[in-house]
Amino acid sequence: MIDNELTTKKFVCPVCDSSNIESSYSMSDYTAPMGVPVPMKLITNTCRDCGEAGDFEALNDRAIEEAQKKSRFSAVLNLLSDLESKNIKMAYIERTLGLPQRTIARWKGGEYSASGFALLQIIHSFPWILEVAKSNFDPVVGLQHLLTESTKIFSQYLPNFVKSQGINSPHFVSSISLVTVTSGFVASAPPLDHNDLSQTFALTGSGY
Amino acid sequence: MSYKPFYDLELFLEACEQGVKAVFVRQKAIETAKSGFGLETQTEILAFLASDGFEYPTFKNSRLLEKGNDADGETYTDAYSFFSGSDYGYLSFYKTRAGKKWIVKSFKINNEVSHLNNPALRDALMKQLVEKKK
Repeated sequence: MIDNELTTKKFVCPVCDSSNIESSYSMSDYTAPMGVPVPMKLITNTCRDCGEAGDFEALNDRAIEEAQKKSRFSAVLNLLSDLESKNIKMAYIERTLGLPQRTIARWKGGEYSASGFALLQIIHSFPWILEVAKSNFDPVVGLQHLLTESTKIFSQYLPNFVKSQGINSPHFVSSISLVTVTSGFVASAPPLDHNDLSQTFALTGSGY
Repeated sequence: MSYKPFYDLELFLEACEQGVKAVFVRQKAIETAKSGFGLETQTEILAFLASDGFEYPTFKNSRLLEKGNDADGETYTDAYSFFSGSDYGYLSFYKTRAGKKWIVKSFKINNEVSHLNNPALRDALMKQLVEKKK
């Protein structure tokens, strides 16, 4: 339908109102995060009278939107399959986030929304957010998960980073080790008191 | 160059609400809106402007259009800096000589440094502006 419109449409220059327009076409592709590239045919109109160039009737918007939809759908399937391979089940996601049952099955069937796609990307990037959701978004649980994840990153990646940077200073290495151990200790500590946390974060202005 | 807006910003934003029928976004502006703000289409850019996406707009200047068919020594473009969350942007627009369409000439990341990059200063300034209006 778009192809047909591209060849039959009469274009008018938005700047000088001339209909002396030349149209050219180019191929490009749209790739959503975790999605497959979807090709799209884009138009460029050039006014022969004033030289203005662009997409005068916003036809590219529809081509891009269609490509976005297809690529995002492939991303939805890839994200869900990746989550399932990490043993994060659709029913668990729906239960913790309070989504109606079979919501994700509908996404899988192609009935996904932009907000559903955004939510899936957040879950895929930070799967532990589901544990926070399970606690009714208790800020203390959130902070503890954040610390646990930070500790994992410190202990997994920092030694390699230090090696790759050729940092041999024993003081630096021992400081990093101390930070790692301390974060691990804090993350595994018993639940903190909400009032204490509120006061601490009020002092640092973090808006807790 | 003038330091008073040539156009009424509210009228431009109202036109953005009408979408691509009332406003044309230049190709270069679409490209920089995509790379700087993740806005992919003319429709997305105009919807962003029409739905309060244009935070803390600050008028910069009004200049005579230098290039193109409307560069007749009478057509001005108005430029604004703005925020979108922590992103600092630059927008310039004008109305065609025929007066039928608004043209978004630039929509990009603003590389100038703003004291408003500090959210606390931004909030303080906004409070001052609100009190002045009262």
